[in-house]
Amino acid sequence: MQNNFDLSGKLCLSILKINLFNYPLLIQIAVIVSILAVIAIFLTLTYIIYNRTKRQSDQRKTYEAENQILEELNDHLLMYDSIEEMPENELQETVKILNEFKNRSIIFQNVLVRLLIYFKHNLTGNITRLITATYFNLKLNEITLSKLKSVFWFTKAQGLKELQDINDYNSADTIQPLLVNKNLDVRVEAYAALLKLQTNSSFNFLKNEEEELSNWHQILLFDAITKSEHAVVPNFADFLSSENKTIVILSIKLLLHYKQFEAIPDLIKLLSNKNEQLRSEAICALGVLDAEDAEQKLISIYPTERNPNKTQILLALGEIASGSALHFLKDKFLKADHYTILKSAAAAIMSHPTALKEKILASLKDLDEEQKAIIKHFEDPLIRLHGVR
Amino acid sequence: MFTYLMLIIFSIIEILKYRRKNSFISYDSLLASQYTPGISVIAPAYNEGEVIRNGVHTLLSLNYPKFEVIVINDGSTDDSLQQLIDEYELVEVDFAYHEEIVTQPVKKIYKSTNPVYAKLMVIDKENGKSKADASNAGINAASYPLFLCTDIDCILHKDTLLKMVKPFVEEKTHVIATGAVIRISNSCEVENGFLKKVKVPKQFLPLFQELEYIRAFLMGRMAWSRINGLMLVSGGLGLFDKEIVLKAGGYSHASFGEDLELVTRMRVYMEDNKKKYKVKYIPESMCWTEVPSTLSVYAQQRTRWTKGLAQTLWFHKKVFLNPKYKIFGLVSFPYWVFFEWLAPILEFGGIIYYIYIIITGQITWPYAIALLVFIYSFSVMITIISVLWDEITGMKYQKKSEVLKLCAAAIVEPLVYHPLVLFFSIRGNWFFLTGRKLHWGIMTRSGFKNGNNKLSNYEQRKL
Amino acid sequence: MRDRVLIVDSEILINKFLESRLSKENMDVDVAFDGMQAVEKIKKNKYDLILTDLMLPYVAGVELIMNIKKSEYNHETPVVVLSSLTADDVIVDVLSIGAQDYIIKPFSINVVLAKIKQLIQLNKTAA
Repeated sequence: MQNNFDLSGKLCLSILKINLFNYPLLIQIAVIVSILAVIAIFLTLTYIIYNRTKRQSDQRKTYEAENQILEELNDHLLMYDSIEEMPENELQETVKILNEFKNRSIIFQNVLVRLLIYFKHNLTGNITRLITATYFNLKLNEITLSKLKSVFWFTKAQGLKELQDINDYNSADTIQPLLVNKNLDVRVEAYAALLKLQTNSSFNFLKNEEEELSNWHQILLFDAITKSEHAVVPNFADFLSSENKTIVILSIKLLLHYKQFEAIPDLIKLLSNKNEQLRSEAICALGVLDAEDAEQKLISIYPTERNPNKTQILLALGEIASGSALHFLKDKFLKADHYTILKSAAAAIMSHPTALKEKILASLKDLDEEQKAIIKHFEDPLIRLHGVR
Repeated sequence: MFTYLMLIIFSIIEILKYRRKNSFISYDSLLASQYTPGISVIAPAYNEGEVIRNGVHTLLSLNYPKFEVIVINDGSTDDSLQQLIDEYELVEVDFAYHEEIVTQPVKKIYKSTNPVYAKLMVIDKENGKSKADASNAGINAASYPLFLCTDIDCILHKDTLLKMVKPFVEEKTHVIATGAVIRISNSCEVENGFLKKVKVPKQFLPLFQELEYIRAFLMGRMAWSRINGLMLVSGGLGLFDKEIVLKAGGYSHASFGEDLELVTRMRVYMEDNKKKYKVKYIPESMCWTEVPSTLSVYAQQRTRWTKGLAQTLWFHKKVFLNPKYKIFGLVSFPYWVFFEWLAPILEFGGIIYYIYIIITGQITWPYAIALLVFIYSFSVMITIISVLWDEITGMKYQKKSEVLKLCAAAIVEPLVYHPLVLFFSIRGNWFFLTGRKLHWGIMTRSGFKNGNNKLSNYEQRKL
Repeated sequence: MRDRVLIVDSEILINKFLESRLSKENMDVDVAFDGMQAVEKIKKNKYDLILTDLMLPYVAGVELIMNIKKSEYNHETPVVVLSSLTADDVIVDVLSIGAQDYIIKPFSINVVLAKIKQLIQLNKTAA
C-alpha cells in the first residue's frame, strides 16, 4: 500500500527527471508560462481573500470609530458656539477624550480628522471657530501639514484639501513651495488653499500660471474664491489679456459673479481676439452683464463669425434686450439659413419685455411652418429648456 | 499572450490613476457649480410597460444639478405611453422638434404639468424598428450639450451622471464619449426599480456573463482607455458629446451593433477632421442590467453582437492598418479584427488543428497536454486578475463567499462557458456571411423577481 | 407634548448631528436616509416639521415634498429644505411646490433651529 508521501515523492522525482531544455522552444515557453500562471492565480486568490478580509475589518473599525467620535462630538463639542460657552471641566474632559481617540490608532486619527473637517465644511457660524480651535488643540493640523511633505502628489493634494477647510494661517509658508509644484493638480489645490487664507498674494496665480487649467480646475478655483467671503477681490478685467486662455475664461466667470461692470470695455476688446472660444465667452459675458454699450459692436462682428458665435451673439442681444437690436433680430429670424440661428433669434426675441416682444411678433407676417412652430415652442410655459447655448 | 499582458498592465495603471485622482476630491463642487455641463438622459422604450414607470422614476432621481430625461416611446403596442401620461401627469406641448438626424415621424411630445416632473419629456414616435432610430429622435430633441444613452430597464447608480461627466470636465483634450462598468442585476435585490443589494448571479449563464463583463470592462476597456484606443462605449450606458454625434451622423439605423458603430464613426470623424480627442472609461460600476439566463435568448444576443461586430468592421474597413488613423487604425481596429472578430474562427481552427496533430501523431501527449495547460492556466489567470481589479475598484459583493464563487467559476470557465461563446460567435459570423435571420417569436418579460427570460425588445427585431 | 420632527438626509453625519441638536432642544426626532424611508415614515406618523435635503436616493427631494403635501397625516406639516443646490430655479421650484423655507448648505445650526421653532409655532397658531 502506498502512502501519500510515497506518491508525492515519486512525482517529484519524475518531475526532476524532466530536463526542460530537451523540449522545443514552444513547449518550454508553454511550461514556464503555465507555472507562472498557476503561481499568479494562487497569489491573486490569496490577495483577494486577504484584501477583502482586511478591508472589511478596516470598514468595521472605521464604523466603530465614527460612531464613538461622532457621539462625543455631538454630545460635548457641537452643542456650543464657542469655547467660552463650554464649561471648563467639560472642555478639558472633551479634549482629553478626543486626544485619546487620536492616539488610539491610525484609523481613529483619520476618522477624527475627517469628521472635524466635514463639520467645518458643512456648518457656518461661530461653531466653526470652535471646531478649528479643537483641531489645533489636538495638533491635527500637524498631521495635515505632514501630508504636504509626502512624496506622493495625491497625498499632498489631500493635505491641501484639508487645509482649505481648516484655515491654518501659519501654513502659508508650507504652501509656498507647492505653488510651483510640477503637478498641476497639486498647484491648483495649493492656489485654493492660499485663496481660503486670503493673503495678499492669493490671486497671484492668475498672473503666473502658464499651464492651461481644465474646467474642473476652474470650478475648484471659482468655488475657493467665491465661497470665501473675500474682503477684497481684484479687478478681474486685469487678467483678460493673459496669454493663458483658461485664465481669461476663469477671470470672465469671476467678473460675472462679482458683477464687475467696469470690465465691459475690456470684454468688448476681447471681441477682436483671434481665439474663437475667447470671443464666445466674451459675447456670452456681455449678455449676462446687460452691456447695452456692446450691442452695436456685437451686431458689427456678426457677419464675420461662424454659426456657433453667431448664435451666442443673438442670445446675448436677447439677454441685453434693450430694444435697439430687435430689428436686427427679426431680420436674422426671417432670413435664418440654419436651424440654430432660427432658434437663437427666436429665443432672443422672446426674452424681450412683453410690450416690445409683442410688437415684433405682430409684425412677423407670412411665416413658414418651421418659423411658426419655433414661436409656439417659446410661448409654451411647460417647455423650459430650449436647447440653445 | 503579449497582448493580454499589455491589457493587464495598462488597465491597472489606468485604474490606479483614476483612484489616485479621486482620492482627495469631492464631487460637491460639480453638484453646486453653474458651470457643470448639462446632460440629456435619453432612454428609448418599446413595449416596456412592465418596467417603464420604475425605470423613469430611477432616472428622475439621479444625483445631478442640470439634466433632463427624455423617454422615447418607440411606437409601443402596449400601454407604456398611457402609463407614463397617467403617472407623470403629461400633456402634449408645442415642442419645435427639429429633425437634425432623420428618424421615423414623431407624433407628439409630452411634458408634465407637475413641476416635480419638470425634467421629464416623452416623445411618442412611430416605430423605427431599431433602438438607433429612437435614440436619434431623443438626440434631436435634446437640449443639453451632453447626452447619456441608456436602456429603460437598466438600473443606474444615483451618481452615474456625476461620475461619468468628470472626464469631460477634467481632461484638457476634448472628450467625446465616456463609459462605465456595466454589471449584472439578475440575482440582485431590486425594489421599485432601485438596486437595494448587489449579489453575485445564482444561475449558470448569468454567473459566467458576470465574469465576462468584469473582464471586458475592467481589464479590456480600462486598458484601451489608457492608450485612447477605445472603440466601444456600450449602448446600455454611454455619455456622449451631442455635437460630435450629430456631426458624425447619429446612430446608424441599419447597424446590428449601433453602439460600436457610432463610436467608430465618431473616431473616424474626429481623425478625418484632424481634431484631438479622447474616449474614456471610468472603473466604476454604474449600471446594472439583466442578461439572458436561458440559452435561446443568450444565443440571440451573442449572434447579434457578432453580426454587429462583423458589419461595423467591414463598413469601416478603410481604418484597418491605416496610419492616418494613428492608434485607432494601427492598434485598436486590428485588435478588434483579430482578437474579437476573427479570434473565434482562428480559435476554432486552432482546436481542429490541435486535434488533428494529436490524432496523426505529430505531437506527443506530454506536449499536447503542456500546450493545453498553458492556454487554460493563462486564461484563468487573466480572469482571476480581473476579479482582483473588481475588488480593488470597490467591493460590490457583501460576502466573501460570493467572490469565491466567482473565482470558482473563473476556474471552470474555459471548459464550460467559453465553448458557448465560441460557438455563438462562429454562428453569428456564419449568419452575417449568409445574411440569415433568426425567428424566435415574441418572448415576455419576466421582471426582476422571476428571473429574466427575455432579450430587450430591441434585441429581437435586429435578427 | 414634545414636537416631532423628521430629518431626511442621505449624509449620515449631518443627519446624526441634526438629530442630536434637535433632541437637545426637546424635540422627538425621526431620521430617514433616503427618499423611500422618508415616504414610509410620513405615511405612518404625523410630524410637526419635516427637514429634508433634495439629493436623496430613490425618491428625489422634490418628489418627497409632493408626497408630503398629498399625505394623510402630513399635508399641512411645514417643510424646510436644507440643500447645497443654489440655482435660482431649484429654489423657486421647491418653494412653489409647497416648502416653507429653503436653507443653503453650509448652514448655521442656530439659524436652522430658530427657523424650525418659528415654523412649528406658526403652524400651531394657524391650526
